[in-house]
Amino acid sequence: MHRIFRPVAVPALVLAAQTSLLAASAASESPEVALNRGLAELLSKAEGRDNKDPVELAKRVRPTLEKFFNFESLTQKAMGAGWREFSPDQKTKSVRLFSEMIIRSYTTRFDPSSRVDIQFAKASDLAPGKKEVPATARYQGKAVSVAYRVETSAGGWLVYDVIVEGVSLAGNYRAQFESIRQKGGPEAVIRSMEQKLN
Amino acid sequence: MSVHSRRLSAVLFTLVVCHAGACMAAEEPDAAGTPEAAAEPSAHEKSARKRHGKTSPKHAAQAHRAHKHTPAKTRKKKWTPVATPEDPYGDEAEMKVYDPFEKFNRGVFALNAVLYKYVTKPLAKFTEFVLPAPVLTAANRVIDNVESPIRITSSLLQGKGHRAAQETGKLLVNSTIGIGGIWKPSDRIESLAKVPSEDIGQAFGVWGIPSGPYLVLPALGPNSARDLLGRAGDSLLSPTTWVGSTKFRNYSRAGKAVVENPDRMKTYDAATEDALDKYIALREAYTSYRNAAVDR
Repeated sequence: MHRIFRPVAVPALVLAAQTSLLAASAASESPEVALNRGLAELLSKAEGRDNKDPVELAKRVRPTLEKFFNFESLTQKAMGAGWREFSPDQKTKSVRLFSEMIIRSYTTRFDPSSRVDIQFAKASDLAPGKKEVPATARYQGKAVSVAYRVETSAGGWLVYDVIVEGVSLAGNYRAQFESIRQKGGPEAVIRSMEQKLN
Repeated sequence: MSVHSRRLSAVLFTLVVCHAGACMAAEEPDAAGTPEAAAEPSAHEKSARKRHGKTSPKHAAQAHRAHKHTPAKTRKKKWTPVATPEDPYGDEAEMKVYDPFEKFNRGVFALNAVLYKYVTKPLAKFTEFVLPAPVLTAANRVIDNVESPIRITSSLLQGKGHRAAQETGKLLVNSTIGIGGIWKPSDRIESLAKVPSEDIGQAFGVWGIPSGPYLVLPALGPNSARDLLGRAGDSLLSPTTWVGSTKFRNYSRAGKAVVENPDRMKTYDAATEDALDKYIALREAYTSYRNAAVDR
């Protein structure tokens, strides 16, 4: 592996977790201020516990993530243009499976005893209703650049993508889903996620 | 560089050059450069069809010549992602990776997976078992310090004088106070703490050279044609290539590979563990990461 490809090993759960409390007062608050505030709440639920069981960790943090992280938008972005091929039932199923995949994959890698330090910078506009909040995360002795992409919704600012060292969470899955969908349609995509979770 | 390495580089360079034209089209797909566009008639042909109801061989040949002699600049359109009602996030979609050797790459990827499982990962675990974490970290720092000439030169080649100065400052501080790079006191100096890393491949990217076809190499893993040439440049600039005897240089390179191996395996796992298609996940992660590095 080329040494110039730096590890993208920082759990996106922790990074995405900083979105908590975004929705609470996003109407009057900038995304970066809300992210800062949300960091304290979610890390208080995740850090410093002796129990490192990822299943138990996922249970603790899931309610906060579901409240302030737009899994539907994340799934839609990950599916790309092929999303229109999905029936309403398939869409519902895909959102549930994909969000489960994301939460599970990062709770298995997050070490609750490790301290995470995140410094947010000023948000920039991406498009009407969309902003990007850059940040630097220090985790297990490594510093990585992160960007949270947030969008307005009825609940306020919600995160729909996390980009770590230039690698987009949704973008990476988009390429994989597109390849699977082209071969077997939406059902193949759903099956692949079910197999991954089982 | 050994004779075999030079030959391999020459072969790979030839491969790269042969596909340079296709690479340009892939980097900036335009109406004529993509396979899909190959079916799309040129403007001349369209108007010819309109006038004549069909395309005669004579008009098809005229259309082809007109297209062929159209200057590249007027033909090429920069790919701009666009949001649509069906794909509202299309305006953020990454450009498709140019992967004309996908079959071959997948084969090598599978071979590498076996190599990683039975050789390099056990070696990484053994290294971490034998060398305590602080020692391994210090060794990585020393390597990073020794390879400062690569980052300094790459920064200068990109016209980033300030960054070159920062890297030089880091080299001086870490070599003296940090005793050859064992410690990294530059991290405590604000102006030297967060300097993005540079390499020759990034310099090529800044110069406008497209990344070219995606390549997976045995043991080396993911690369692009551009980054492969960049690696050759990095190797020439690295002091481990020209300092000391041949024996010393070989031991240095072997030691470097062993020390860096644990991190590389963690990178591989991070990029592929949760993937539905590990090959695509690593390809996309590598390409996105490198594109972002060029843009920094």
